[in-house]
Amino acid sequence: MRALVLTGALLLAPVASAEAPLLTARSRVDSAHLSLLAGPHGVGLGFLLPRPALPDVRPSAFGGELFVLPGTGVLEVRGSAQWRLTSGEGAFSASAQLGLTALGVVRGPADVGLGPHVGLFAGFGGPRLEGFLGAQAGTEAFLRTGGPRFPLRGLLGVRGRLGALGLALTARAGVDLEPTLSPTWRGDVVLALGWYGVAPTVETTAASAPPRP
Amino acid sequence: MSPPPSTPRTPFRPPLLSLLGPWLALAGCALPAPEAGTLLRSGPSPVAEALFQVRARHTDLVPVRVVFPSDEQGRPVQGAPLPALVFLHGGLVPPEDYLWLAEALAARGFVVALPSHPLGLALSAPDNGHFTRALLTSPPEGSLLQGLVDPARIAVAGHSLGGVVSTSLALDGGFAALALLASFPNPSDEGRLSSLPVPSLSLAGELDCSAPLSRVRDEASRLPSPSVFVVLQGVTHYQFTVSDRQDVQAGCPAATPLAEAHARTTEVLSRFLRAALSGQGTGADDLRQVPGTEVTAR
Repeated sequence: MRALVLTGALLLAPVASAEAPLLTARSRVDSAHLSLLAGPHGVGLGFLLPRPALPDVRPSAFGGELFVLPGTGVLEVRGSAQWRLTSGEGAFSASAQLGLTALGVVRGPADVGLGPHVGLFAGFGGPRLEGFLGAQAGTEAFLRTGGPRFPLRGLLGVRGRLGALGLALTARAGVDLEPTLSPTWRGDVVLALGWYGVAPTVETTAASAPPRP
Repeated sequence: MSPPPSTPRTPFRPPLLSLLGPWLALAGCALPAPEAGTLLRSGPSPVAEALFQVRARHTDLVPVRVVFPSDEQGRPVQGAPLPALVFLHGGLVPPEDYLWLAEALAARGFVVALPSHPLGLALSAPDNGHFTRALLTSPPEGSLLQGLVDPARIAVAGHSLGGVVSTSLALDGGFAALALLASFPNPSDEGRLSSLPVPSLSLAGELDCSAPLSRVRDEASRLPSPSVFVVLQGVTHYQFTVSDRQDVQAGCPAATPLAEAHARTTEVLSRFLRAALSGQGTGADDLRQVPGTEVTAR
């Protein structure tokens, strides 16, 4: 019980700001959609653009996010490419992400940060309902305050979709490592409301892809 | 004069503007640099409090309460730079619960800075103490802190878990004294504890049920000289905070009234800080004059 309370506090603490590497985790390459993101620290917008599910098309999708953290005066912009690691035909799916994060500090002395991030995710379920877990890591360097900072995160989430709407809840916890500082523990939860559009969408899993030669 | 030729206007909103919108909305919000504080007490030794925010770890903001000797308008007192104390709260105890101590020390001429920590745990962001020290030594331009603190006379202290982190901060350097209230050094610092370069005080409660006296006494013996260990008779763990309700609820009643415990804590800590921050060791002889204490100096 105590662990549950501590975990809850870790994830919901309003001052435990949690930046980078990436808010959105996807074990399965989803259909194209836009997302509204909201967490205890800020709000944002995101999108995903899958590419045709053909064997020679790599990466499988591109995504991007803009996140605003009013409490700390920080903007985060992220872009990433996603690679499908499983066929997507069964209940198990896995994918990898590689991308860039840019951070802007706009309160107090201005600063800009930039760095790559990687992620590895595994999920169980289908396009309609899926649970997933994963790990993310990144490197960030800042123009004014230097660095580098190495964020490491573990995450757990669930995603559901009904018609044109989707909902995903992701909880992340981890640590930021920096050569001159003590480890800083982080945690956050993010709720993503997805809009898949009114037109019929094509599931971009391998199950719906053309037959492979 | 003919009118200028009209050109067809098409609504145009560059996507870049949408991205810049949040930036512009947040830009211009400078970090707080108050020139005066809110008066906490008036009378012969007025004390005021001001709230600051420190940019830390690139993207974090650390809230810091600063309590300082002031005039009746909440402006800092004129005069020579003052000694200061960075105080770290105990686990899951908000910094406000130590305002009684900060106020009492400020009335005796100290500037006291109380940083917050994520989750109420100093261990979650141990460097907040360093960032708070940086606030005192390099304050925002035009703020009340400019010229208020003597950078060479800044001590670090902490209660309970805050004391554990305070030891690490003192070992990292930058502080001129260390005070532990119902606390002991971080076990991970054991290897470098003997190199602690500043005078230290370990202040224990005789009836402490959370940091038992035997443990605190044993750990205090590892602090290198000059060091002083002081036991406050009849005092419990949470009597170092604003209320000892948690001790009562846990079946750990104090034998000393809370007001008396506060008065003794203030006396011991202020006498130690006065001695340590003026290069006169731990002030052990002076500490022995405080009633209800047992003092061991090394």
